[in-house]
Amino acid sequence: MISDTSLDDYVAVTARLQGFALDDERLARVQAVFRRNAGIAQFVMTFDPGETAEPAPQFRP
Amino acid sequence: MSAPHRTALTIAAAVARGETTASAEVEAALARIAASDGVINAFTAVTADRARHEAALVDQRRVRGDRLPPLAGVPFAVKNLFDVAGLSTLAGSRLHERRLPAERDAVLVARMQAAGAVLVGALNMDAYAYGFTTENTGYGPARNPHDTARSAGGSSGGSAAAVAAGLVPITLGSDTNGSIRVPSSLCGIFGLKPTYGRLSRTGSFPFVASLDHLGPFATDVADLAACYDAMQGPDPADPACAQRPVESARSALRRDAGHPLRVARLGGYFDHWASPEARAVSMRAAEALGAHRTIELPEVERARAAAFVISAAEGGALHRETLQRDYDGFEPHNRDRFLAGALTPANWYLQAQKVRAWFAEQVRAVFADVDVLVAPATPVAATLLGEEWIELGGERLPLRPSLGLFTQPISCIGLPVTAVPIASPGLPLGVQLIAAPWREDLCLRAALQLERAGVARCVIAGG
Amino acid sequence: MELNLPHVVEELTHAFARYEAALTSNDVAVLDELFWNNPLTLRYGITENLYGYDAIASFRSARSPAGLARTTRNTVITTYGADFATANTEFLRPPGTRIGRQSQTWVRMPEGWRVVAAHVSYMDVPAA
Repeated sequence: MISDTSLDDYVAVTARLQGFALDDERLARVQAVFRRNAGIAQFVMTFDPGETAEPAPQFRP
Repeated sequence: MSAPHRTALTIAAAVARGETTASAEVEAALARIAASDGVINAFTAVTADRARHEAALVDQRRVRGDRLPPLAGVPFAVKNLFDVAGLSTLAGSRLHERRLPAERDAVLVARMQAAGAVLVGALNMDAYAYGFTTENTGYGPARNPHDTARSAGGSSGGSAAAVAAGLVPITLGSDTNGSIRVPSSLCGIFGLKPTYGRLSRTGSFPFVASLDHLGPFATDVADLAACYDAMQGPDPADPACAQRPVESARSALRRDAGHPLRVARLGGYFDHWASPEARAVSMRAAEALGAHRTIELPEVERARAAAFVISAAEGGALHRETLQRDYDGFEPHNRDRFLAGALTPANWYLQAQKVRAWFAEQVRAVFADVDVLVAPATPVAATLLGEEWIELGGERLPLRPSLGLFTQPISCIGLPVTAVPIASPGLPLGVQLIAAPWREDLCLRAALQLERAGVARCVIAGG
Repeated sequence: MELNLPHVVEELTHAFARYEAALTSNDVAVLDELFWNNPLTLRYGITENLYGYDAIASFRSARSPAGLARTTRNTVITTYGADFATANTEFLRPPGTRIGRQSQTWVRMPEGWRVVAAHVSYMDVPAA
């Protein structure tokens, strides 16, 4: 269970880490988008696809 | 504009018989574009010089008595994420105007040219393909020819509008989560999203490498099959291309059916989020194809969510540097979505790929005793430009992402789909005819069956 | 009376998780097990008010298994002494955007923890 404030903190920290310079207004918009994304992502994370699903896209040398 | 609409194959046949010339066809297309595109805004570039030059070459070949290729003299246009020699590949972004022009055509554009088709221009799209309405701040919206206050759909809105307005009979677009099927439905035309990896992506600007498909739009099934065949074939330069030999769709359509198609309608999720009109066209198509049962796929919402996470992560990563350097110049409609996507935790992305693999396996089992699945292509018909919200399934949802509700779970697992316009009063509305991987022949055969029954019909606006 | 005794919270968390798993997979046997088999038990659902265990069990057996998947957030479990607890959670059901709420009152019966009253509804969001 992730609270909205820790999602917002994550966005602020990660955006900086990734080299984005965001003013307060831009940051707030991105945080709003990310909170929505997190709801959708949680829907993916709470599902157990079992062992048959390949763990990562296959690399062919 | 006063002449009745002719299909690509009709034009090609007339050119081959000497009843018309490629040059005359190109001039007519250029005139139609000049007359109508000011309102529709499908085109971002008109390649008149190139088109006239190529048309003249076709005419010379004809005069020489050469055997002409199948689409000789047919004007066509391509979404502006395809490389066109001499043009900067815009991918819907004003920022790309400063990029060096492409040195050569995209592979699919070159193959269409090799088939004799004549390129007349590049077409409008949602910036960087992240959108379902072609509301492009930099280039203006692509308007629906059936009602210019409404969206042509996206992200290949220009491609669909150009065909629906009768400007050219065939165009090319791309589809990652629905960008061929959504505009086909809203504009009332045919579209084909082949199997993931079927057609080469070399020389096209990407969006989501794991999900991008390229494909044609047309006004009938025969044209769709002809374009698809012209573009098929391996391409060692594209690592995502499956390198399969050409499997002629036109031959498959001409062959005797053998057994009748086993068809089922998709219910559950595909009914819950559909408007009554969308549910009705799905039922009409299913009934006309002799479908007796309704199937509910498991965890469709989960597959859609997985495609969403994959798109956000890969799209965000692709544009990370541009967003760092030039946030202000980036399309306002999607820059925050791309930026948020670039922050996606790795576990979300990896889990989404696993869910995708799981869902693909579930659906593969369904195709053991079904040839074609029927579902609506969009939950509703074309909406007004600028619309933000929609009522679906008893809930208020954000409109733009919701247009892809029915397309996104299907392209998530790369199944071939023919988008087919179903004859109905009022605004156009289409269905998806979905087949197992590599069975484009089956979904095209189903489309042809609907066309012959008069259930599928493309109406050219103003024609 | 002691709030949130650790072993009681642990038992309730386990029971709540069992209920959630059963709900999203429509495991009717477990859903029937976890509600108190008594005419006083009640459940206000999204579209139905059910009074008594029999009405609730009927509802469970008739319910379509499709579209039940959801995610929970901001789950709050509070235990009062050793035999009584409340469990409240928000939930989302993508692609829908409505926020759902579920409230449950749990009592430790001789046969185990049981839900004696429950309420599920969606929050009305003012138009943005």
